[in-house]
Amino acid sequence: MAHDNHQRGGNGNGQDLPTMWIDPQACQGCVLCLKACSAKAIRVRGGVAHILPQACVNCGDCFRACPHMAVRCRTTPLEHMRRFQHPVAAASPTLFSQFGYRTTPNQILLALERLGFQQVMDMGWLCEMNSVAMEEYLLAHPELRPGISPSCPAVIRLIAMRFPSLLGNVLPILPPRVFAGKVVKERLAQSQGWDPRQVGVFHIAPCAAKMVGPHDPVVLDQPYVDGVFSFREIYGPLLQALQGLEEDHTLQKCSGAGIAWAMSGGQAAAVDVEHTLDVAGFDEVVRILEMLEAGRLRDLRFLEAHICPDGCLGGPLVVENHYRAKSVTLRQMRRFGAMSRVNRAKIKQFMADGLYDWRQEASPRPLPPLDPDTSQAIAKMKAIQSLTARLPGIECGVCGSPDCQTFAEDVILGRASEDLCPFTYQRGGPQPAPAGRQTVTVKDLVDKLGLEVAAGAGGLGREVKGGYISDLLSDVMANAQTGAVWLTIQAHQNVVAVAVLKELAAVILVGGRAPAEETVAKAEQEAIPVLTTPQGAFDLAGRLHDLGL
Amino acid sequence: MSAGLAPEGGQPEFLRAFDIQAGDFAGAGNVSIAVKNLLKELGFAPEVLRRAAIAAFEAEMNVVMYGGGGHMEVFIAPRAVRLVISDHGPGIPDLDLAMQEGWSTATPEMREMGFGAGMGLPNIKRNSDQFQITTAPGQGTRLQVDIFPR
Ligand SMILES: Nc1ncnc2c1ncn2[C@@H]1O[C@H](COP(=O)(O)OP(=O)(O)O)[C@@H](O)[C@H]1O
Ligand SMILES: [Mg+2]
Repeated sequence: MAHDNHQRGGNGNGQDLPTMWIDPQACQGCVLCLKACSAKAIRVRGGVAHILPQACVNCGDCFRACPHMAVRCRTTPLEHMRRFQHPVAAASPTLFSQFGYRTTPNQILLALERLGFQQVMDMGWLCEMNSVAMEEYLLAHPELRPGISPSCPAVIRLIAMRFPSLLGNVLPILPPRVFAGKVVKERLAQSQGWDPRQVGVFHIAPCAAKMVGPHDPVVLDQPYVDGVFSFREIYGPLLQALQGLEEDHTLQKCSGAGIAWAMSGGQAAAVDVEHTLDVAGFDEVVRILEMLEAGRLRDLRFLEAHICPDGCLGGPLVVENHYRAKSVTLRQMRRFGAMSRVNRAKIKQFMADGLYDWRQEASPRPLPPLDPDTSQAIAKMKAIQSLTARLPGIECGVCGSPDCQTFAEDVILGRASEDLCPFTYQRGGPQPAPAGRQTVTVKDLVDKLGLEVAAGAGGLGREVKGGYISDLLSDVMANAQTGAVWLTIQAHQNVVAVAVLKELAAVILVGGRAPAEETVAKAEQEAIPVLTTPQGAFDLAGRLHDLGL
Repeated sequence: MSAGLAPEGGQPEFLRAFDIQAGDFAGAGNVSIAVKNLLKELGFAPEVLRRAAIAAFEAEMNVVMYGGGGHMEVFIAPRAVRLVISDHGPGIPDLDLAMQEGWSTATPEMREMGFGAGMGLPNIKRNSDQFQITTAPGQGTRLQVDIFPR
């Protein structure tokens, strides 16, 4: 599985970096991900799909839908554990469901140890502790109706974007994975005499949504988790480690109550307050959040919500079929019993010590209105309505927007041109391309010159009208032509800003330069392609000239 | 547009209408949600969204439960939201009584579902800046709710 050169993402600049991205080389430009995306965060432009970071909640539905494996998850490469002297594993209890009925949680934890982790946390146990902490918090705050579990980061992101008024309902209790990192770094490292900078805590997850970083609206001011390993990547090594494993000690502390966290309903069953509700799946979660926001469900005390169908065992990066994983989980729950051995007094002490506290609150990221000015917004909405009425309403997706209504929005907001719709196109009569001039798109350059697309694949359909070579930003601001490709060695994010302001077609980083992380984020957001090549500016300019530019 | 004072936010223009089905408890609330999302897209403040959502929901429920179906129209001006909710149902025989908190003709089934507190009409009035209700036995019921951003 492919990886980005991205490990921590925590660059602290508040930029959105989606945990999913689409490889333009593998993308066929079909409508499958476009249609699968409930958040309507995908557009196909210039024959390539791309994700709008500000609308994406990291649910993983595009990843599930793509038959060409073009959708990639930004998880951490396994080798990164070797960057730390003291690697620590904190695996989602969903991992226990991936190896059939015979393999016990203890064996899986021991196998993780065999892979070289110095400490293996039993996250099932931390989940059980978390149920108690959430319950205690609810009992101490009877006015909070309902408290929402903070465990699914995609749900929290959805709330921050579309239901900001409910952010205050998210329980301010660190979810198990972050709690694990905090305990390891603030307590275990000390007691073991480890250098805290040499302690790397890795969450092993069934989804990329748990990838820590600025895309997580629940930003913690200190990174407790150093990386997220995907189930898919660790599965093979774990299978090997399970072979001939000697079960000579016990790492498992959890009962069935912790194991149940893998499934939707596991938390609701464990948090013992009146009226709990569990909901799973994007559309179903939206429905419940809408009801909450409309002031309904007033009796509810606790809400467990998962973006994935059936909860974490339906995650995009699981290996096991999720119905079978559920069967295995149910079997293990029976075998280890629902009686939790968590010591309530100890949890209360942890809470009193602030060990479960957020450092920062989740911050709202509302989707912007059609226009900041209400009169303009009304005018735009009317224009959208009248355009929608003229569109065929067959929701084919050929225009590259997910449905006719969204296409109309894209057109009115200047993100798409109306003739992309094959139906309005026909009605108006086809508009032939201006004769005598062959248009060249950024994608043509990528294909013909073998350039790497480092970011901003959404803009590959842009037309290239010329080229400009300079490493001085003011020079480019003053002299570059609209539609030019800009050849430069400058890889910082201001380059993208200049490209946007000057409406350039693309930025090509020459001489093997790679874009900075902020540059990537900004380019994705603005759909400005940032291309890289080992060639120098002079050679490349020659080849561009040969292509007729 | 029918009678009524021009609200201070400018004369609202018609934007959209939604159908409300009689007795559709499963879909009940969907129209209010759509109206709220519409106002959200137009950039109205959370305070306006909150008041509009409450008024829309209560009015929608009354049409579902008592009005025999009808529709909700949304009119909009930069500084005004107007909701007009109308039905061709039995009308309200004694309006003063209906406007009193706690007065309700909800059936036991409706009460079982958490409706029938008799707070709907008073809450609509409380959350609107201008409120008109026109009704007569056999003539249906029409509510006009104006909300001005504060
Ligand atoms: N659209 C309507 N058509 C007929 N009767 C209505 C309508 N809306 C309200 N009513 C009457 O007014 C009463 C009070 O309404 P309301 O204040 O919303 O309380 P509730 O819905 O809890 O009964 C209702 O019980 C009903 O008898
Ligand atoms: Mg009512």
